[in-house]
Amino acid sequence: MKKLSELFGEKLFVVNAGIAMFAENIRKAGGEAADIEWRPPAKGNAEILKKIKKIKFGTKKAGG
Amino acid sequence: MDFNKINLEAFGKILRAEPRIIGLDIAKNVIPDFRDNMLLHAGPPVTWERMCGPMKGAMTGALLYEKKAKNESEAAEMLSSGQFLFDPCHHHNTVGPMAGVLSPSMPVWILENRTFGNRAYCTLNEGLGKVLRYGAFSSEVIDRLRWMADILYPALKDIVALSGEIAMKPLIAQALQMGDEGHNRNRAGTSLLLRLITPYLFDLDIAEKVKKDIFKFIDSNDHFFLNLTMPAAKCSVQTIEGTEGCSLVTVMARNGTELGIKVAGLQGKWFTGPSQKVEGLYLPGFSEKDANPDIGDSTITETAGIGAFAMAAAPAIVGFVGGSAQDALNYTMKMYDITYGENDVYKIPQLNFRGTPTAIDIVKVVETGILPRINTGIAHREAGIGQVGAGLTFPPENVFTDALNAFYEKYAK
Repeated sequence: MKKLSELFGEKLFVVNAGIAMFAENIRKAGGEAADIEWRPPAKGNAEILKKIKKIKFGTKKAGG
Repeated sequence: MDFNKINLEAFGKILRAEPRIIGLDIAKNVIPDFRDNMLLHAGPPVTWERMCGPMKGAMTGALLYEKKAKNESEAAEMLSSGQFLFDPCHHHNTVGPMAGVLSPSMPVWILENRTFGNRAYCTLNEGLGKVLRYGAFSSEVIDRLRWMADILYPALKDIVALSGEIAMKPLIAQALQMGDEGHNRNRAGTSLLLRLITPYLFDLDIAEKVKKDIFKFIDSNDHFFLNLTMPAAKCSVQTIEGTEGCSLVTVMARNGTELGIKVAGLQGKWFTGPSQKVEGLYLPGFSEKDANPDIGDSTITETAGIGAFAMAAAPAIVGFVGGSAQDALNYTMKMYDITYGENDVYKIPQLNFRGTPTAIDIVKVVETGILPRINTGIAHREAGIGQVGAGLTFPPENVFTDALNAFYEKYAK
């Protein structure tokens, strides 16, 4: 397995799972980057996310 | 509670549904809890005061059709007087496209789910343009409705009696292979149905001219099949209504003022928000300023995994609703992220026969932030005019977060 320092010595192809600006900067620097559509779960709403996690991963009640 | 197991079982029920046309009848004879002074409409509950223009127009037309009012002003007076009960089609196992207005003596298709025995109902499709469901009520609209009740309905009833039950799933599956998506494009489905019923039409003991008129009427209306894909979809998702712990959507419907959803595990509750603007293409002479917000029960197709969810199968639809063939493909691909699974019968050739994304999960919608795509017609915002275009839209986001909050309160708090 390559060391991280060696990896950055090679030509990189970057997959950007973040805001588009990250990929733009790589392209401007001569790199290649592909954007994948990504947004934070529940649009970053921590309260809603907590509820989703509880629904998905663990709970109690039968029948409500 | 194992929510995933519950959803898996519910999803299985949707897939096992076998909607079939079993006949036709007059609405008041067959639709459950339908009363003489009742008028059904699309979407969640709405009062006369809050009804949009096209729904008021369709209500007016319904009273003219029923011969309960002589003209528009008399109809308006009666409709605002409180003597009529307005109730959502969905409260009566019924679905209605656009305004979805259904009065007691209109003929309806009867579909039955052979697997579970539940039934769903829908009117016969009138065509596009100046029609009741888009809010028009001129004499040509009422005359057409009367012809449909007096001539078309008895003939279709006899045809189904001769042909026997007609299985909808194979027809819809085949239509998807032929470029339909079952909501805004029904050209293939209408053609397949006509091919199936025409031999029985020939056999009817009615005048040759009437046979020709019936053939021409169905043949000239590419949306005739819509009023069958809708109750077929309703029949399929209806089976999971009231399933405790199930987070799958059973209803998504609009009354032109509000859009409402219902969730299997939250029986009896509507989650509503404002009907959204539709982005699309307009008929000559009309523009965005003429458009009413999103309206109709036809989103039952998306709820059951066809319509905009199957748009990849219908690239030609972009000529009707706007966008590119690639957009159509992208819309379908995104819907896989918010649905429970893939349909085992409705398949998309363009995606190597992958099953359509089926059964919207409110948890996935809120988690991903991806809203269901809706493919729809556009009605004029004023009563009495009719269709002005077709396009694409989304539900308001709050209906899913509200539903998720209620689901959490009931099952996971």
